[in-house]
Amino acid sequence: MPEFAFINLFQGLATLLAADTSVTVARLALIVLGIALVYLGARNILDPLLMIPMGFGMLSVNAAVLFLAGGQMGTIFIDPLASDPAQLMEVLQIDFLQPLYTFTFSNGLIACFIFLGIGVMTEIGYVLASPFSSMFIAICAELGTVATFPIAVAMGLNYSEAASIAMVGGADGPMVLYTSLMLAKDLFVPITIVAYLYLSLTYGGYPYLIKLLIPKRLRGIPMDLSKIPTVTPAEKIAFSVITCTVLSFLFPVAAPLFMSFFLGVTIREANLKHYIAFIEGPLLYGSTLFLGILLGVLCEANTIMNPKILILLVLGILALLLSGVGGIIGGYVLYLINKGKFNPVIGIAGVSCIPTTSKVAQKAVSEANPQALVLPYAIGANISGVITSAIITGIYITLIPVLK
Amino acid sequence: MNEPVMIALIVFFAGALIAYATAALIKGIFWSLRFRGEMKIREREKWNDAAAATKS
Repeated sequence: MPEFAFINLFQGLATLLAADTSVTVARLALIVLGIALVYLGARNILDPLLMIPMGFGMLSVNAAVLFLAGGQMGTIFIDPLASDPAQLMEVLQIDFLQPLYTFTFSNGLIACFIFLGIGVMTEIGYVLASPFSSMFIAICAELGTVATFPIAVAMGLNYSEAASIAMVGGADGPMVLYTSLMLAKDLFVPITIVAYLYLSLTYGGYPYLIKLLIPKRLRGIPMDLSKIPTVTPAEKIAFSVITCTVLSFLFPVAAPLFMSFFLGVTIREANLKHYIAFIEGPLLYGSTLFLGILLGVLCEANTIMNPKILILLVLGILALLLSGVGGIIGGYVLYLINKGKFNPVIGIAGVSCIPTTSKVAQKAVSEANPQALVLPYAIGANISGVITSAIITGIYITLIPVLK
Repeated sequence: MNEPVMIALIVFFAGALIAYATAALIKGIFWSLRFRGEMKIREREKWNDAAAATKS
């Protein structure tokens, strides 16, 4: 009878024993992290819509490593590094999540679907209330994207990698995805994972930052909503069409996102009920679910075992922290300019994690003063944040290749 | 000042400049829409007045 190892019947365990110690430890750590994400999502401490599928993807992909052809270790989930067309065709027929990754994630389509959904849910009239103050807050909230760049260079990254990880401070997943694809393709996967992982942390982490930096007395300042102009649906549609055209001319890098967002706004204002029901429901929730699963399965130990990953983790959280602080500083400046009639909490909404940071701002304000409503102003700052993130992305992508 | 810090400052100030230009653009678009709406109303009022005068 030929000799065979019993453990090889259970390849997930066999590969765990056969791999390098570092890979084994990383796999086990990621499985534990996956379980933690599911737990924190289910407890509503982190965003459950993203964290639960992400946690499941992460724990499952790291448990399910097996021996492939040629004795190589891998999974039948996804191969994010496959780029050769022949290899990609083969992978598309074997790895069950590869079609989703290739046709919706790596080209940013899934992000556009999410922006379409956000557009359908957004009241655009708010951005017209005070575009200059909204834009001021948004540019202050880019502190992380700017200040992280020299820190990243000092930590040993080159300019392209530094710019890509600095974009995490913009808190805009699709922008980070695009910047790393354009500037640092070799770090595309780890940077994208770090970005999305931290973006979900804004939901859990920013409320503490607000409480730390803004006293309760100031958090409860009510905003004057009578200043917000009444805008008719026809005006909003005209505004969306013109603004989308002009912004696409100015920032082609973010044109797919602008188109998706303003199309969503127009569908809402034109009251296309069937489209609204489809986009708000199946499309938005479906995209969020698949985005979560994809992010989870991208966290396979072999894929993200990059010596730079630790630096990226540190820089990612630093970028988001600095952006949050910058936004709150912007809020304080407007509080002083408006002689105490501006709620500085709105500053956090300048971080363009739309609509999470707006909701975080309103929640923090409601805790301090249940009567105060800042959401319209926060949404305005949020939309401006998307625009400034697109601007900074455009500048980095144009500037960095020239400096190489 | 070293080069990365200079680049960061350039990115920030260029970003701020373009962001404010965009804010002005948004305001301009909104004003234009409002102005066009007001002009339409005035024209309609004038037309109604003229029509009423002709009838009488």
